[in-house]
Amino acid sequence: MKNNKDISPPKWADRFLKFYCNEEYAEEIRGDLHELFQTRMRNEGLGSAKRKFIWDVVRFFRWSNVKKTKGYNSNNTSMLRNYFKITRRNLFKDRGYSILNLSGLYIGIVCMVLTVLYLNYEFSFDKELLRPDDTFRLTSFNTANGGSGNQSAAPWGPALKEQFPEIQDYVRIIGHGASVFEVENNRFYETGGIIADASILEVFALKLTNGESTSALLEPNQVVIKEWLAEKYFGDENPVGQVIKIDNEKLYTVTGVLANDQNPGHLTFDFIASFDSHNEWFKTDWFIQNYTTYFLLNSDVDVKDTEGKLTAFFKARFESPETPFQREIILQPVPDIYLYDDTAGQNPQIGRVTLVGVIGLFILVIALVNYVNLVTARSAKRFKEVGVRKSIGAAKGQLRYQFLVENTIVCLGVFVLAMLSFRLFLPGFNRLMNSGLEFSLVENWPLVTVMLAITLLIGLLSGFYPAFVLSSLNPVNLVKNNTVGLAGKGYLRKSLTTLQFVISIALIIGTGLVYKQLQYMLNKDIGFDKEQVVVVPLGSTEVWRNKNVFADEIRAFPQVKDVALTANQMGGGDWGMPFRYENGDRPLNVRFMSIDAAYGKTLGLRLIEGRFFQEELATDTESSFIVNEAFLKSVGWETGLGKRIEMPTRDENNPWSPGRIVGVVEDFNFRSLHNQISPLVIANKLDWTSTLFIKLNPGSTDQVLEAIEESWKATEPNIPFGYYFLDQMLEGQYEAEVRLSKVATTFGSIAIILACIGLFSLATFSAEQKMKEVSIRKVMGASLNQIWLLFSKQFIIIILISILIAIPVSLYYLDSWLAEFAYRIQIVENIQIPVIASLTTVVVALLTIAIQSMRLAKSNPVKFLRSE
Amino acid sequence: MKGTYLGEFEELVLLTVGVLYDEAYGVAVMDEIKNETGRSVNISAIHSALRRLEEKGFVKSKMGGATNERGGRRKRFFVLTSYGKKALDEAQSLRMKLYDRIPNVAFGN
Repeated sequence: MKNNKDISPPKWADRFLKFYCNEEYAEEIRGDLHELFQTRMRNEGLGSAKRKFIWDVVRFFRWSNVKKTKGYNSNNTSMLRNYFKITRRNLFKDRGYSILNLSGLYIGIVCMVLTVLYLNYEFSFDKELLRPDDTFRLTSFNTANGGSGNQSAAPWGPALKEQFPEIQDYVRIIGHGASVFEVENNRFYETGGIIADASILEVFALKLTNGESTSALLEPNQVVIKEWLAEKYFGDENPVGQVIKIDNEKLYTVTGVLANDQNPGHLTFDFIASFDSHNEWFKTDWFIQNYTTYFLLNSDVDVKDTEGKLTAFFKARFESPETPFQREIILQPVPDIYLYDDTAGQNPQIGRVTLVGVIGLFILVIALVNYVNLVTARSAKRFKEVGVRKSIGAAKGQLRYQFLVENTIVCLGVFVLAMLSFRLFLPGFNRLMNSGLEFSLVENWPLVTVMLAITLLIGLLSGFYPAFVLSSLNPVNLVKNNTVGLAGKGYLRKSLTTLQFVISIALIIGTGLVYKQLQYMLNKDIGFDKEQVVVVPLGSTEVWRNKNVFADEIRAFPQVKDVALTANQMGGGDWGMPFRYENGDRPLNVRFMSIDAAYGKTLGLRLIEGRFFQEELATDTESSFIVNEAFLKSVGWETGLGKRIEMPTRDENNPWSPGRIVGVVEDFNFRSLHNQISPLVIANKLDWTSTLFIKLNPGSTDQVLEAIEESWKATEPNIPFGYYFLDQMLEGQYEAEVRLSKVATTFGSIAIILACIGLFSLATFSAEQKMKEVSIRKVMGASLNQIWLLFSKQFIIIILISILIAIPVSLYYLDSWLAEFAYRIQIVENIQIPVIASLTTVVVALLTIAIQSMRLAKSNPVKFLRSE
Repeated sequence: MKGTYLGEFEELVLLTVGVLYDEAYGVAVMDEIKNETGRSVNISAIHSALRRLEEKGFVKSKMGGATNERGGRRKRFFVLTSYGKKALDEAQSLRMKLYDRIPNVAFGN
């Protein structure tokens, strides 16, 4: 006999039914189900009855049967619900203004989100090292000329580690140069390589996805490559253990694979070759500084103290009576390099980052000001509501609470929208900033939290004014009369609008001047002719070995005007060298170039006196020099012709090789216009030349390039032909300015649009307030012009004040920005820019308020006076 | 008030409630429909239909007395309201009116 338990329906299903079912229906439903269960048990058996019971319970689980939480009908929650309702109604009542207002806020918040993302990325560089606080780069500061450098010689690292127990480890890095990778029949140039000590993997915490990091770079000719390179050359095969032929001579073994997305760092590379893979002559030289050296110090070491010790070490090693040691060793913290590096004449990135941050903040401020202005303006329409609330007993605190809640809800809504949609803007932003920002709500939750906090703060701030002002007004006045002076004459709103226009005008002026400076740099006469010049770096190719033959071959092409050989590419390829000169007591550090006889003609350099090198004169290659004007100025000579200068040699018995100056060339900008032209000495050492400058005749460049490539292939079939155009490369030097110009234009436009939205809303509000006044005036016979003037006057005053503030402030900052450039435009000469900016703003502002002023001027006075 | 449109299934349930007169509650309606039409309908559907009909005002309901077979739980009995009767009448007459207008040829002979 089955016990009683078994003939009842399944307990859990019954309990579940009881749990979800609305009490109102529970009795009948459970009653019916139990009845059915009994019937079915009799007719169909227990199992079937149970199954059907469960099925029925499931079928009853529908919305109309489910228990609804009735909520606790406390006063608090119903008031809160009322606030929601009122918020919604207010938003929908004036749809136009709400949309205008909220879209302004939306733009502001999207800008804020993008800015926060960008800043977060920029500040994340080199933060994930093995021990970030103990990792330093060896740099030196020149006490004589204030310059600083970050290069060091190869033997320094090991020697210093030997000498100083404070140094735990060192990493030396040098560029790998453009190299040809060859795997089976795939052959490509790879330019992003470095050569480094094995310790780089540990010190910089580089993660290998494949391969053994402890042994990956210990032997010569080992290489660690990025994932994408591994895929490019080996596809699905395991890259570790494979061999890559480099530059048609060396064989590198792949010993590891690096993830594509390493933590961001100032060092960027596509592959790392082991340090002993290269064997340049300067690898053992104590003086030639071609490397960057990083040190990992022991944790408890005093950095200042170590710097002093290192300085003393180098002083002892380098100082001679002839050359006093005027350098201080500085250990630069690696996490600071990306943002704050100012060595070797760099402009620290932090300037640019701060600028973006400040502009982002400006936009946010403008958007906020708009929002606050509109909220306050609109809250004047709610006098009656506030009055009624107060009359039936709302305390000040409650009213404040209401406004704060309202604004916070609105801001949060906009924030959510911005979060969901800003990805649409991310690609554009990335193009603008040349950044690779990515964002996922889940992975970046700490950032989302920060932005949420900022948004809440915005909500509270914007609710602050109406909350405190409105709640403190007298309810009788509020209910009785709409135009009780809302906080005097609206000084807050007016000054906020002024602030908006100050920012907008400043941004427009900035945009204009940055653009001018850019144009100036791109079009300035730089002392040589950069047009139609193709640059072909020869590297260590067969072509380089036969460079003179190759040059002659190309020179014979009809479309080629001239061909020159040089050791130094333009825009930073020059070398540094000390030169002794007649009557000088100490060698002068100058920039150095080595060129052939055709160089001057090819680039259109202009001589002040003397001549260029001549091929026929064999002595030229030995003992002739050309100097630039800056050189003459720095040594204080009137003329340079025939003067004796001496160049250092590598021969210890005969350290100086003398020569005569045969020509003086007019100053030309062999570096970008950020730099002054330094003293330059040019020699005719043909052995050192490694780059071809080919000047083309105007016309079909494509054909010539093809022809040159054919000749290249004939001489060097194994390495692809590579070239660039000189003018394009030189323009690339101003990429930062181009970007700045774009950023300023974009953000400037957003700012002015936002400011106009603000002005528009202010005008609307003001027009409503002035209706009665204007109506009376019209009745009394005021003309349209008078009314227009009356209405527009206040806004014109706002704009004028903004202009008066914006011009000096922006010009001050732009002047300090321009000071970074050795060659710059003068603000005085470009005074039209602030003028145009101001006029534009006035016109745009007047157009913005035109609709409202027309409405006011054309209104029928009866409409507004009737109600009195 | 929700629409007073009477769906096919609702009409069936309403008719059954009328037929059962005093004895119309969930299970009884379901059984009656099964017996009369052979349609096997889930009990939850009957409940929903009854509740909808009540909202539309075609039926009204009251709780009955305690019963033993249901573990002491009461039944909810439904009765036709005059409005419900009227709705049935209208549905019927509309159908007849349309039916009468079908020309003989349409029957395919």
